Amino acid sequence: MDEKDLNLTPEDFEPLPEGAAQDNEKISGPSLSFGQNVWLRFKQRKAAVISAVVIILMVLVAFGSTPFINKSTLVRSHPEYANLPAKVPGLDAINGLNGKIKQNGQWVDAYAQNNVPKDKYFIAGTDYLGRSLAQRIIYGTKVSLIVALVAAFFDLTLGVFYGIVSGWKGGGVDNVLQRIIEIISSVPNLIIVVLMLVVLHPGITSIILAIAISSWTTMARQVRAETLSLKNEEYVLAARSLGESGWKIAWKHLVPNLSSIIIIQTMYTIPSAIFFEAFLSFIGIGITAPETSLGVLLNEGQKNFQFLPYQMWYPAIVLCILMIAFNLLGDGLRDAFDPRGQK
Amino acid sequence: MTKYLLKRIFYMILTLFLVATITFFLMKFMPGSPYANEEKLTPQQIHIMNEQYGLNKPLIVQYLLYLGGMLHGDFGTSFQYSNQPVSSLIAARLGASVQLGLQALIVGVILGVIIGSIAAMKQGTWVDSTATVIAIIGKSVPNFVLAVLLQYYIGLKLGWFSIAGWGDFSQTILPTIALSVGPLAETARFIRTSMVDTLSSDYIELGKAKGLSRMEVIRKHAMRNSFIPLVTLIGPYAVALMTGSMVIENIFNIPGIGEQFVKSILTNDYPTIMGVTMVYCIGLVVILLITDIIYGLIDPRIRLAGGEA
Amino acid sequence: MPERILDVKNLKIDFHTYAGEVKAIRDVSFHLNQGETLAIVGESGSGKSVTTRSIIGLLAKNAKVMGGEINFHGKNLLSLSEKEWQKIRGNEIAMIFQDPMTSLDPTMKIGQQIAEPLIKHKGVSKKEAWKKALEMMKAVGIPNAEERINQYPHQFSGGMRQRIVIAIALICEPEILLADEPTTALDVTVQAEILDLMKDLQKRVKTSIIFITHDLGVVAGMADRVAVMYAGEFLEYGTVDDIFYNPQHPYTWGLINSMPTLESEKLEAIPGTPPDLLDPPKGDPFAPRNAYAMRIDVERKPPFFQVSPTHFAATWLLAPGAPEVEPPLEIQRRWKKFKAMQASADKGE
Repeated sequence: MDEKDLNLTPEDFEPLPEGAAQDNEKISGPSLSFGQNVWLRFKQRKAAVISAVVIILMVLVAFGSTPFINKSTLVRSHPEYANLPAKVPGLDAINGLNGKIKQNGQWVDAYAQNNVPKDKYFIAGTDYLGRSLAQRIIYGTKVSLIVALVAAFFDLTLGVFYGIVSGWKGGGVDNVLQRIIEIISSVPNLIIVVLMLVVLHPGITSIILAIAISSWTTMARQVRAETLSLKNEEYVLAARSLGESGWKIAWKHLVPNLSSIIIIQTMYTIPSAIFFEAFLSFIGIGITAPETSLGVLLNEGQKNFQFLPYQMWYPAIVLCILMIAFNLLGDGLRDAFDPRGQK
Repeated sequence: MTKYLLKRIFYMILTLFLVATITFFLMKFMPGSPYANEEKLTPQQIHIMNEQYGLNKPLIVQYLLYLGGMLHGDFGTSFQYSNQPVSSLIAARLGASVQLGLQALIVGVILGVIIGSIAAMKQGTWVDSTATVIAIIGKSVPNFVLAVLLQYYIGLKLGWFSIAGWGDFSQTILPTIALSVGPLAETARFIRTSMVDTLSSDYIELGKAKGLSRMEVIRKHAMRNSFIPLVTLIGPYAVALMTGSMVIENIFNIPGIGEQFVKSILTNDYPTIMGVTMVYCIGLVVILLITDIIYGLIDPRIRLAGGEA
Repeated sequence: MPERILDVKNLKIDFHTYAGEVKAIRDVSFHLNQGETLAIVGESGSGKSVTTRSIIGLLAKNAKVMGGEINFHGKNLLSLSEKEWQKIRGNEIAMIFQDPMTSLDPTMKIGQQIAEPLIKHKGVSKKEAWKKALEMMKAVGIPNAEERINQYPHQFSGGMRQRIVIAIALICEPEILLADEPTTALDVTVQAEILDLMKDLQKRVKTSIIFITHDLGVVAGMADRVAVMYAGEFLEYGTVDDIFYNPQHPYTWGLINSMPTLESEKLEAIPGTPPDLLDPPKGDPFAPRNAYAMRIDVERKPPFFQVSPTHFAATWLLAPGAPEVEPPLEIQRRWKKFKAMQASADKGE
């Protein structure tokens, strides 16, 4: 470097005033709490956000409809409206949604055939007793959601409690509790549920109980494993050496740090509980008529599937949307809580 | 290793004993009579039948006889199919269920591994997204819904495969597909995550630094490391297949053990329910044990840790 | 004049991130002489790992070379195809990674892992390669090599695993060995053994080493020349003596001053954090943390001023007309020692 080319002036070498350049402790971005970070990452996952919205809508519709759609409205049968296809106001052009149904290769107006009043619309058609399928699906969705919520509740209480106790106490207690879980887990859930259903009489209460009681072991195992590792974290050791009581530590330090595992596991318990209810009701050993659930509707729809495919398609679609939404939400939350898995 | 195995086998037996005991007493306290159309029977007939089934002996004797019989593979006599031992009823139907389960497992795992691996290698591309969508749908759509759709649209409308029954291979195709979707989706998700993890590990980087091509690194280092943990999923798969077989066998009218189980539950055939329950539990504990042994054999880390314990 | 085996010119590398283009390497030039050890020193994030990774063609997917050349035997490595890279990696240029606990494939026998590059590059039979692998294991000081060649990584300690990684890197007798903080993850006592081993093997295999570290203490015993890197740029480079006893850049002063010595009562930290490379400073990148900063430091990037034929530093303090400043006491002490060393060297001649 030819030093004459530098064109330096004495002013260049003036020291910088104190503090002018020394903003070196400035932190360039606002720091975010763990929760805020999770929320930011969650928001980026469109599929999960849409799923959350879908689930909220389904919950609102299912539970909000209770005054209009309940056991007393659903038992009323209208044989004169039996097996009508869907008829949605304003969709006269779309076969299948305009009250027409395919019979022997021809689209026939089932409403006209059965002399249904002109202003009568069943947006998802009717079942073999002339009950509105839309109403029954909404009611069935509510049952599925209740089953899911109770299973989640058992996960959050029994599963979490069992896991924390097992992991935190360690030693002999842990050993005994783990052997018990090991024994329960080597019996297929199905068997536990079926045995309970055989003993209790089939119905909503027994199916909820059966699913809830068989579903918490995975949660307990995961919480225990995490508790074991958290137990030796320094902040927990610090709290212990400061003489905080075990339960206070569990509540103040463990539960917040376990929250991601707990939330993610709950999100996986829910669809499996929904599946189990539908499955058991479908094969006829879960909820049975006159009670309704998505599984019952699928069971009834399947019998007539060849002629009235819509009776199975609609509840199937709702069930699948529910399952997909919970699975996607679970995945989205998992990714949001665990940034290592990020793409 | 031997000590560990003995311990495992002890717990297996304990589990089976507890399950047997619990099912026995649950069934004993069940309300209602085991006999179909009981009202038509005279007290005398009921007495004779109770004698025949050993139901008039003290409970504890019945229990011990039941346990003793089970050791010889005798699960008692079915209430529904008069005079037919539960064991022969199950034996006659086990073959179809096992065949269906194995076919579904093989198809599901192989396709799942392929889809999951490709998704991981093409991480972030449309191939990956497609695989993720397939996996989510496969996980979310209940297999019995899929079974009904396959049966109607592919079996009946297109007429490609037989829609029901059990005998020749073409009859197994639709139920196999329906049953394999669950394991397929689960495997694809698992392998994708496992492979992505492995591909970002330091030893893969070292493999590249050795001058191996991407495919060589994947073949020599990534595959084994990301496939080995799949062994741990075999237990859960077995459970899913048992559950699935109940409904799939029903839909496709397959004379398997799952279909029998549903029938027994609906008809209060307690000896058969107990028998099938025991067969399912024995199947699962044996599978879990074998899985453990296989895992120890193929993963050097576990092999040696087990050896030292 | 020693032969230049590697010549890096004006290397520029960007990282594409969600936040924007991170200018990780900004115009870096250096060379590596045959048989020498060049240490690149800097804090984490200074770009030293990125620089070495670009030499073996293993940059992260989101990294992009924006300009420059890396000349190796007259070939510009940056223009190689993936196929050509594969012939060089592990063969002519090898690399040792930081963490020996995760660098080895947990499910493959170590004999096979050591033999792998040999089979790939030299086309020798598997049996031959294992024989060489066994020799290599003995050379890196693994006891009971005959027996242990069939074992798996988890059966080895961290120090032993790093020896295995070194054996893998050196089995093809590469011309250049890139060592990315090879001792950082190890216990202090094991660190010294590994460094000795590397020096020893360097003589035997006649390889040149680029050694990356954030620990100046490791550099003194290991390197022939040292380059100080900061915020994606080189600030100063020279022989070990130049850098340790005659440092010129205030950042180098800071680094040396923060090394613990027997006399120091408290450790001097360099205040502040490195600049954000999304929007790199236009002047001297160290200026915001520099107690000696002048107006020109924030306005213009300093060129390299020659201190001696082997020693260059990019600081305006060396410009003609720049004011004399008083460096920290430890540095003044070292300068005195440097003068004494030179005087005695002159006398010796």
